[in-house]
Order: sequence, then C-alpha cells, then structure tokens
Amino acid sequence: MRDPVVHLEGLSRAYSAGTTAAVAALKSISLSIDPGEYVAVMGPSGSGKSTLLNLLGLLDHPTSGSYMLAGREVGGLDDDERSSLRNRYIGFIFQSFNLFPQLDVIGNVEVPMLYAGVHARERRRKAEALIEMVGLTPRRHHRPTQLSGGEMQRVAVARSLVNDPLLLLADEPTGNLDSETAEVIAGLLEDLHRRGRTIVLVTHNSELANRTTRILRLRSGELQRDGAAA
Amino acid sequence: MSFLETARLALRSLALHKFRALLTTLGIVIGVAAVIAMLSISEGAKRETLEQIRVMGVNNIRLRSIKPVAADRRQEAAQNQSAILTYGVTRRELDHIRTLSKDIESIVPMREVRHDVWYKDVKTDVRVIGTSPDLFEVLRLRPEDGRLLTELDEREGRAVCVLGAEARRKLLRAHSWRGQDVKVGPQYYRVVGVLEDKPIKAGGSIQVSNLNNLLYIPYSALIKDFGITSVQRKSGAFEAIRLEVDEAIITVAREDAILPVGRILARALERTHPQNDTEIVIPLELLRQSQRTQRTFTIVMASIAALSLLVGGIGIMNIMLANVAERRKEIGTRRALGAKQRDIRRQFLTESVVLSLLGAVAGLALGAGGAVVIHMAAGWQTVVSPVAVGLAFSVAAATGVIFGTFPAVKAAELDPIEALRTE
Ligand SMILES: Nc1ncnc2c1ncn2[C@@H]1O[C@H](COP(=O)(O)OP(=O)(O)OP(=O)(O)O)[C@@H](O)[C@H]1O
Ligand SMILES: [Mg+2]
Repeated sequence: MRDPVVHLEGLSRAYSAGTTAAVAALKSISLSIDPGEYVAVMGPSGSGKSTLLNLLGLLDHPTSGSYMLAGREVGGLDDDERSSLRNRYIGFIFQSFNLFPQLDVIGNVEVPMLYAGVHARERRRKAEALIEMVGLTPRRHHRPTQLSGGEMQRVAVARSLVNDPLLLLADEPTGNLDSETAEVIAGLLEDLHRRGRTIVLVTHNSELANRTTRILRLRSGELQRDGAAA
Repeated sequence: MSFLETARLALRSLALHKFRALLTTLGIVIGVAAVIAMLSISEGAKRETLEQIRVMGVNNIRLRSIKPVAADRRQEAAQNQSAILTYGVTRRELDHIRTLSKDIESIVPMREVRHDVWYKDVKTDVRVIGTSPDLFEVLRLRPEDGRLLTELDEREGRAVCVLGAEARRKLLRAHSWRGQDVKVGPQYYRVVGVLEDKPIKAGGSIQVSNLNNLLYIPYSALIKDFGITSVQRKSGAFEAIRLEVDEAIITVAREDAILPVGRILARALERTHPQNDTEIVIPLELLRQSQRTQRTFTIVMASIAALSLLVGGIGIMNIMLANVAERRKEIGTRRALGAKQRDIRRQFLTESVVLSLLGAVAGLALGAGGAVVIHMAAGWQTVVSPVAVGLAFSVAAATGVIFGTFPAVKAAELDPIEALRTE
C-alpha cells in the first residue's frame, strides 16, 4: 500500500502571545490524506484553517505532534531541508495570487523551477506547457498588472504545478474572485483531481466544498467533523 | 539559480522603480565620477612629468641661467653703473664643474640666439640654439637625413646647421635641404642635416619646449658670429645682456651619482652665484617630488571617494531596507515556492550590488566625460586608465556588498508566514 501523502498525529499549534495565556490555534489534530484525495477544509473564521494549511505546507512548525509527509517525519528537518521539500513536494495557491510584478507570465511560472535548479530550456518548455493547460498562451508575455484576477489565479495554478507536487495546497483560491471566474478555477482544480493530484483546499464556499471528495470541519482549532462531501 | 539569472531578476526588480533607483545611485555616481576624473587627471599629470623627464633623460641634470628679477637688478645697477646686465653660468664655470666629479660624463651648453630665421624671403619663428655636438646624443635626437654637428664643426666654428623636423618644414617646405643656406639675423648657415620628428609636446624650459622647432648651430659659431652680448628691445628701451649659457645639460654616468653630483653643483653655484641667477633641475628629484605629490593627492582623493561612497552606500542600504519591507509578500511567496534563506539573501544582495554597479557605470561615464571637459578647458593631459576603471568598479561592488548585506540578511530571516500575511 502506498504511504498516505499526509499523516498527522496529535498535531497542535499554539501561539504564545507575550504574557497572556497561549492561544491554541490547532488542538491535537490527527488525520491522514491518501494520494488522489480532494479535501476541503471548512470552518468559521479563526478556526485554524490557514494554520493547518501552513503546517501542511511546511511553512509553520507545530507546537507538538507529528507530521509525516509521504511517509517521512518532517519534524526534525532544518530550514533548508524544509525549503527543498516545499519546492519539490508542495504546490501553493494563494487567495491573493501572489504573482511577482517584475516578471511576465512565463517568468512567474518558472520561479519554482529556478529554485529546483532546472535548466533554462526545460523550464521554458514546462512553463509553456502549463500555461497552455490553463489557457493563457496568448498572454504568456504579459505582466501580472496586465491580467484580470481570474487570469492571475490561473497563472498561480500553473506555477503551483511546475515541479509536479505531491500535494497542492490552496487557501481560499476563489476568495478574491467573482463567481464566474471562481468557477473557472474550481474547474481547473477538479480537472487536476481527476488526473490524480492530491489537493487540500480551504474554502468558505460550501458549493465548492461539495465538489470535493472529503470535507474537514474545524471549530476553534479542533477537528469537528471529517467526512465525505455531500 | 545562476548568477546571471539572479542579476537579471535584480535588474527587473529595480526596473519597477527606475526613478527611485536613479536617485539611490546618485551618491555612488558622484563618488565614482570623482574617483575617475581625479585619477585620470593625476595619471595624466604623471605621464606628463614622465614624458618631460624622458625627453631630458633621467640621468641628466639641467643647469639654467635665470635673469635676475627687476628689484635685484636695480640694486646691482646702483652699485656698478654698467648698462649691461651680466648673469648666469659661464663656460669657465662649466669647465670647472667638469673637474668636480668623475661621475660627470659630459656637459652640453646651450645658448639661444634671438634673431629671425630666414630662408630666401620667408621669415619664420624657428628658434636657434648654439650647442655642442654631444647634445644630439644626450637628447637622443637622430638624423633623418644628412649628418649631425661634429667636433670639427665645433672646433672650427663652422657656419653649418642642423634642422629640427618642424623647423625644416617651416623653412624649406618641400625643398630639399641639400646645399641650402638659411639666414639667422645677418649670418648664413649651410644646412648639413635634418632631424627625425621628436614626438613631444612637453612643457619645461624654452630649449626643450619643442625640439622639433629648433635650428642647431655649433656653439663656437654662435660665439664667433653673435658674441655673448645681445641687445633686446624691451618696453621701449634697449636692454643689453651678457649671457654665455642659457642652459647646460650635465649628464651623469650612474643613476646613484645623480643626487651627489646635484649637491656638489649646488655648493659650487652657491659660492659663485649668491644672487640666485642659476637654477639646478634634477629630473630624478622632480620624479620623486611628483611621486610625493601623487601620494598626497591619492590620499585626499581616496578620502573624498570614501566619503561619497559611504554616503552612497548608506543610500543603498536605506533603499534596500525599504525594498525588503515593501516586498515582504514576495519574500514569503518565494519561501513558500521553495527558496532557501540563502536564495533570498543572494537575491537582495545581488540587487544592491547591481544597483551600485549601475551607479559605477554612470559615474564612469560622468567621470570620463569630466576628464575630457577638463582636458579641453584646462589643457591638462588626462588618462582614464584601466586600473582606475577596475578600481572604481571593485569599490562600487564592495559598497553594494557591504551596505546590502544587512538588508539582505533581514530579508532572508523573515518568517515566511509573517511575510506572506503582509498585504
Ligand atoms: N501569528 C499569530 N499570533 C497569534 N495568534 C495567531 C497568529 N496567527 C493566527 N493566530 C490565531 O490562530 C487562530 C487561527 O487562525 P487562522 O488564520 O488559522 O484562522 P482561519 O481559520 O484561517 O481564519 P480565516 O477564515 O479568517 O482565514 C486565530 O484565532 C488567530 O487569531
Ligand atoms: Mg485563513
């Protein structure tokens, strides 16, 4: 049997805010995510969704508990190792797109490959293929400021995929988009899911959540419900 | 990520705020421009000195006669009612000096004749000196055609002359020099040879100011034909001077004997010329002096450069800190996409180095342009040396590294989540 992509055991994250008592953002979360799952994380604001995603994305350190990424304990890794795991295994899609204004579409999509040490020709080839996939080939030389929100998020999706990640993390990817363009992004994600990509998606949109295979419900840092989508 | 890619990214990032980058680099631009302009002036001055010394020969000491200044002369005139002004070095003195040191190889006297020079009915501003045959060897003047002056010419006081290249062009134009006579004042001289062009434009004494524009006659012929007393019209009155030698070149056999010989000369002249109507010029000493001046100049210049680069560096640090603060989200995103701390550090460090190198390029252009303007306005020789360019660039790069490190380290140490949270 293949290792789960994500395996958490008793994962907690507390913020110590100076002299006042620590704020528990996540309380002892245990769960597994298998390859190919399309998971939605839901819950009210402040319930710990982003905290969970940041932990999954190796951006944050848990206060306690264990996190196995693709069967490997990541707790003891140093910053450089975590950076290269992020680079190779994880794709990020952000609510506000986070494109680089000094680079054009191709340049933006190439960035993760730069940190992976991919050669220029190969970078260009992969970037163009993914830009083609998200339907932005005519816009490949445009700067982010020349793109609409939906187009920017499609660039971000392409960028998240260039290193062929094991796990795709999207924190409210449609949060800044109108419903029509949100639909395009949702379609893209579904498409990726159909092709076997493992995706974890934070959303407030239950319609979007219902199109996933599994919904995690958080409340005050606790995993309140873990079940199949309606 | 290769250096080239990092540099390209730095350029693109800087291009987002072109005007800001321009303002930031101004300190560096001015610093580098100052360095380049000043180095090129001092390099030019150095070359000029060297050239002058090369013309005179480093082993030669020059002994010059100096016309006493008016005040001294009035005093002297009051004492001895002579209407003729007598000053300067004499042949007898030169013969005496010759015996003072065995390191003296030769003494070449030079005396200028202030008469117009004619060829047929063409008058020119060619200048005439009487000198001994050794001069040609001492100043490395080579015949292009014909011969030089000889000992025989000297002994017999023959009315012959050798023409410098420019003097020949002015006097003879396209005519052959052979068998031609040129007229100096009332006297005719037969041209026996012409000299190669001596490529110098160095200043200095009248005699060497332009060796190409001279007509050389035997010293003995000069004495015979013109004597040592000359009368000049000066501000309405006539002035008679008695002067044997305008300048003598004393060649010394060994370089380490130059300064001792110089001291012997100084002592000898002090006794015979208390009225300061002679001057000793030792090129070697000039060289050392110019090296000393050079050092002072370099220190002053380095301080100015250091100061402006410090100001420029602080400007760069300031803007890089602002840059890092403004681009926290970019930094967070890059970290999320897999950038290691050192990638971020390198990105921002490269940016500050590129910024200061751009300043260096602009400063180089400004400084080199300034050197040209100075050359045209003041007539100083200026040389933008590769060493100066290299120095300016390395110093600029070092400034970028020194003042860019702190902001770059700050950028690298940002917590990715914190950085991502900023809008
Ligand atoms: N750096 C921090 N310091 C202190 N408390 C923090 C910090 N980051 C998050 N928290 C707290 O942790 C809790 C979870 O925050 P988190 O951002 O995960 O919520 P969320 O579910 O993503 O909310 P939203 O839907 O508004 O994005 C909140 O109570 C928040 O105030
Ligand atoms: Mg959130």
